[in-house]
Amino acid sequence: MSTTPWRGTLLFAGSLATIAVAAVTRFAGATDAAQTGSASVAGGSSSGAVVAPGGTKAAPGAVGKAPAAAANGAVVIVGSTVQTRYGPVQVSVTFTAKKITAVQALQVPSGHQESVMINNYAAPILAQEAVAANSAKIDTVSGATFTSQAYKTSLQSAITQLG
Amino acid sequence: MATNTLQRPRATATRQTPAAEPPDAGHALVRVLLVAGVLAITGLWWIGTPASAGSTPGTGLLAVGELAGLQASFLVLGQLLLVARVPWFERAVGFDRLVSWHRSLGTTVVLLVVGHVAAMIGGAMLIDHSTPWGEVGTLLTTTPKMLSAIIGAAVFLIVGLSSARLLRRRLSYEVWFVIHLLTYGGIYLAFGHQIAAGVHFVGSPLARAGWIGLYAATGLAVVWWRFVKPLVDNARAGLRVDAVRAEATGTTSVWLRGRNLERFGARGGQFFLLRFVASGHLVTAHPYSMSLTPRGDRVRFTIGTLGDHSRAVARLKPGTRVLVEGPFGRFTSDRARSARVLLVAGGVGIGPVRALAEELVAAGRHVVVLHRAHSIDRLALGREFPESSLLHYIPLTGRRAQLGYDPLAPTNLRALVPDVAQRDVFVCGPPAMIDAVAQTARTLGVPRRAIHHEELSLS
Repeated sequence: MSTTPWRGTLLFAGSLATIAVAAVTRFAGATDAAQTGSASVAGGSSSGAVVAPGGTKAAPGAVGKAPAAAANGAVVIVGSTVQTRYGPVQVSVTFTAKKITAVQALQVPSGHQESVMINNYAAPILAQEAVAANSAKIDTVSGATFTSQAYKTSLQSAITQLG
Repeated sequence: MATNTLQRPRATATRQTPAAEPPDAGHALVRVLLVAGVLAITGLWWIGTPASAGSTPGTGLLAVGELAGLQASFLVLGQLLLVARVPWFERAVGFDRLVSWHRSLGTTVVLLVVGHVAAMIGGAMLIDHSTPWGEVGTLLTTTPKMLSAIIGAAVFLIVGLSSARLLRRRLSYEVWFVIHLLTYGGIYLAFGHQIAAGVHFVGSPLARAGWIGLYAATGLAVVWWRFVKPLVDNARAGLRVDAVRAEATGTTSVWLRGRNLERFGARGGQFFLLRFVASGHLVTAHPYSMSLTPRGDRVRFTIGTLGDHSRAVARLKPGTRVLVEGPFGRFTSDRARSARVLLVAGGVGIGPVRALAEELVAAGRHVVVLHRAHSIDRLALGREFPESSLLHYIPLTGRRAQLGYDPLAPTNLRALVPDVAQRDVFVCGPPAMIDAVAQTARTLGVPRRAIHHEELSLS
């Protein structure tokens, strides 16, 4: 075998260097992005907040209060905000007679185009699953693993708050 | 005989033009394509990765792991293509270098796969604050196609280990080859999770289509050139063993007979992968050089009876079916730039040198053949080099230990071939002899690009 013995090592070193350079330069902008990102997250509630059906989000003072009941008996509870690597996820759940009748995604990762595309199709699927299962035990959507995980956690927190 | 004119016209007149393409252009292009591909993949990752991924160690590690996985899966396609017997690669780079590059890339691919798996588990661990085994469980239950991906990664690791020098030496070619075939399965198993769970492909239909296209194209190339084309060629040629002749101690010639052998376009100095359809031979294909290129319906291979397989060749029965793949190799007369050529053959290396000499003489080049062997009874095919105005044959026999000197050392070679610096030098023989002759030729002023050699090794 006349294979140059160091060439494999050199190639591996080269690919590692490519990865290192790509990661360092890509993440160099992370500080700016993280600041703007955290600013928007700060606006959202970090724990359960209660919203009247169809109404606007309750004032921060409403956090921790009993769920608001509407005339038709529906209750809307906002789940906790769950951070994923691509951004925060938060759902609001509508319960009618203690059954999940609707789930709306208040926050899904939208930091970049792909996240938007992924979540545009993942969010409705997850919502349907939640209504069908009437629990947080729902399947992960292919390709939207992180969002699915966070979605379930937020959903579960809303269910727990309902008690 | 050596003064015969070959029947194939392409081997003669057209090869004289000195303005042939530089031999390194193809090499450079293949390298550039590989590097450009890696950079393109890195660009895809760049677009699909938010800068904020670097804000925590866990997400940063995941992103880096994804890039390692992307590069590994791209490079493994490169590896497949390099050994897919693509005619353009064979002409531009040559079989032995392609195999050598395939080997070198293999190290990188296996290490990148290991790094990818480690980074994906490690990154998720950091995010979830869990244990490695717990994280593997989480990945298996939450990510699609993850079980097959893990099996695929294990296959890559096994194939890589079996090809590592330390282990490869202890494995027979057959065992190593069968393990190597698992790679196709490994690539298939790993492909699912890239498409179903790869964050860079799930959201972008364009990237996804491109990636699937890349895999499909590579798959088609492999299927066509490694399976379909050889099958068609063999069905058409219908090669069988015609005769087996002992040429000298340790050397046997095998004549094959078939139909329309000119269609292979084989040239002097090239080799085929031969697979004899007989018990003990069928499992493996071996690289053997032609000592006479196809004429009419016959072609001759001259084989050194060194290993257990090639020893068994001497016992082949006429009529045995033979499956061939090829021709391969760039050890051909079109590499020669000068009107004079020195051919150095060590032992059974005389086979390709014999075919090469014939083509060179037919093209009007002046050829000196140095035939190195341990003893006179090992000088196979020696009588097939009749002295003429264009051909001079010099046998050099005796072990260096007995002679007390090396007949291929610079002083001796200069005495034998005074005009060596003006000649193209072709060397065929054991690797150590190739290195020694190349060294000697350099010392005597032969430019590096005028020294040609090739190795017949598949692993």
